[in-house]
Amino acid sequence: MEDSSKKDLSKRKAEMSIRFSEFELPPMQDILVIGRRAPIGPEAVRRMVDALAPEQYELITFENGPVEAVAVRTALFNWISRNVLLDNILEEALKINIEKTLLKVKMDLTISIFKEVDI
Amino acid sequence: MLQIKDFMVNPVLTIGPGKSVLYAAEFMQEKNIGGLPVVEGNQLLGIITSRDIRLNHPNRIVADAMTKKVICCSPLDTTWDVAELMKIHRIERLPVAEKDRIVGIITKKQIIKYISQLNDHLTGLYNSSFIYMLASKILETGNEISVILFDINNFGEINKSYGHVQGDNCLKTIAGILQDRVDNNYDYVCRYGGDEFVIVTSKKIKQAEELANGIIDNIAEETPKTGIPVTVSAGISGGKRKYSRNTVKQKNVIENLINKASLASTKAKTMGFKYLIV
Repeated sequence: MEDSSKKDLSKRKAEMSIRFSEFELPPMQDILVIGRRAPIGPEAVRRMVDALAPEQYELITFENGPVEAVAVRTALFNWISRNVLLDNILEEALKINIEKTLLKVKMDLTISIFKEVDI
Repeated sequence: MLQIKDFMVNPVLTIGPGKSVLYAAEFMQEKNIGGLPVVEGNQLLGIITSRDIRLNHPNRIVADAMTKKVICCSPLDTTWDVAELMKIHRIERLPVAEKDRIVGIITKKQIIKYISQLNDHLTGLYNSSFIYMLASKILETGNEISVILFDINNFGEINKSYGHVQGDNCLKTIAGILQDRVDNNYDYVCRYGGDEFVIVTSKKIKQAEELANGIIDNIAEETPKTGIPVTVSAGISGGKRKYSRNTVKQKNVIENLINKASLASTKAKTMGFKYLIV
């Protein structure tokens, strides 16, 4: 009898919070580095990119090493050479234990020009 | 010799490249199989094996976890070819493909079962079916071929005097001597039937003669130690690669060589020679 009266007094409530934000399209930003044992492999990424952002990314795969592939926003190659970009990305990615993960990379490129001209 | 199409499994259980590794693992466990060909439309894309499952995250899609370089065989390959392929690549399951389209699957278990039927259970040597197949292979590769047929002298008398158990032991002793003397790279030995043994070799007839002579002497030296002295006679015949690409004619060539060697062995026995070459 006593127990049931206690139950009546207790109230269960849940708090709800709603946050709206814009879905990033595609959700992977500039570059995605895919570890060789990551939960998502290059083929899955290729399918995702083809569906969400067709013709905007290039998938580059590697035969060996902890990085299996990188998906790069092709527009970046208009600003920086392919080799320089890949070398730098791989150099930094390999410093992290990348094999089992996917890394989302945001790249800001700024071109600085300093010229001396005759006055 | 059976071709793979005669006993491959069809239809084949396959999986699509977009399925998850977890799904593949559960499907393989349910069907109790160690590998699944990955197929899209009619195209064979790869194979996913238990090893791939172990090494990849269960969330991955099969296309990202499968072995892409698939070793396949043709439905027209012989069991022997496929047994060799499986041995070289250490694989248990082999998709059978025709123009990149999967038409069946063959397992190591099936191959072993078939090959064990090629064994003579008493001596452990191969039987005559196997020797026909090997001889065909030698002819196909364009090598010379020599056939030596050994026939035990007075084997009927041995059975009568010592009993069939001792007769069987005598056959086993001779089989052991033959196996010890042959070079597995060139010579293939089988029990042809009853008290006849055949060696098919890619050696030239002169070398085949040396081999036969050595074996005959060896048998005469070794068998008295077992309590039953035995001698053998041999017939030796040789052929060339004349019909290397024609299977029917190949069979005729082999049958003819064995027949000639058999007659020569009988003649050698009646004439009191160790061997005769024809």
